[in-house]
Amino acid sequence: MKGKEKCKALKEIRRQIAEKNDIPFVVSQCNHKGDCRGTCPKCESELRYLEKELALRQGLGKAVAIAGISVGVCAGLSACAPTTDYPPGSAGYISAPVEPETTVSQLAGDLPTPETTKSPDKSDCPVKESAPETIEIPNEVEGLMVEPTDTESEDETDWILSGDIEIAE
Amino acid sequence: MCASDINSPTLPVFGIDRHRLVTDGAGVTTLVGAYGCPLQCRYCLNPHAWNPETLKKCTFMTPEMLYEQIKIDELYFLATGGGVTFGGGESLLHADFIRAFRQVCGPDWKLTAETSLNVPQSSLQKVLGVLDAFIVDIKDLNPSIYQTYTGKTIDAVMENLHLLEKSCLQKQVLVRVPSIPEHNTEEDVSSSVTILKDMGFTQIDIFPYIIRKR
Repeated sequence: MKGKEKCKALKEIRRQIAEKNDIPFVVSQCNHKGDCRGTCPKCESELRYLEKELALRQGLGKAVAIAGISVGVCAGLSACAPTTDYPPGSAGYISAPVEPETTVSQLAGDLPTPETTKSPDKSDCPVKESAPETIEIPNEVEGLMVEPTDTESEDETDWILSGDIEIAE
Repeated sequence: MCASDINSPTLPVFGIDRHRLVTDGAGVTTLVGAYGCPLQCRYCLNPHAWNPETLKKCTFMTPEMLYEQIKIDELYFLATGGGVTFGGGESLLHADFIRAFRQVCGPDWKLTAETSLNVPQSSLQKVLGVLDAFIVDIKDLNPSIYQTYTGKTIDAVMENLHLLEKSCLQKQVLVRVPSIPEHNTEEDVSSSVTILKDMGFTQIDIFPYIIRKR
């Protein structure tokens, strides 16, 4: 699965969570050209925003709906990716020796805990020529400092399956 | 390290890949790659999983450490019926860890293991009732082909398939049957599928190992 497809699916999941729980949330349009990892600091901050809002609602004794509400998003995706899409999207494939802590924390784990409800900061998105149609979530917040990730570092077209058979020219 | 960590099993993790969709089980999953495999298949997708050099680069994680790392995607897991997929390498070599991880993460995350089933039956028994799903890369059920391709006998695999059958867990198992260049034929693949169907497995994915020019 290409990063853009993944981004779209994750975005739809976030939208559904917000909708089911009456959380103000307008999904922005990402105009980044080229493929990406499927998530970026802006996407991550949207997720953290939802977590915060859900926690607030739970704190107020309100019921929240999460379990299974977005099953259909994944069910609608192609179960049979083209074979040319093998790494990194193939079943079980995971890239060689990485530093797991770094991998995860660079993506999201280092997001500072917000003091107040935050909305995603558009400037955090590694989007080029971005022209979000809208967003926006209330309570614009300062201080959400996230290093942009290199969204084009994982060029799937360059991957060669480790187990591929080499054909002599 | 707190006292509870001292006796925790650790997992040699060489990679964590978030936001897997479709490829490694239902919903949004995080794939955790753990070092170690009893097989050395010619076309292994992750040969680094059994390269000793990899072990030096692994992070040895307790269940609590892993949980802390991946809980950031809990909303996605819960909303989509996804969770964590243990891969590798042979994930069931780490059955004790998987059991302990379930205790830490609770019942709501879906836990899946990608496995060849070429592990002692005691390992599989430890995770029955703990895992929600299995993705089994079966190679080929012809003992001769299996041994030639993997370097190991198929005995443990068959025993474990029978255990899954006896446990009535066939519906929780996706069996992947590859067409392996220079090792099996279409007829061999069909034969494996027939055996699996006779055992009651219904989720069977036939796929080819692709050949690419470098």
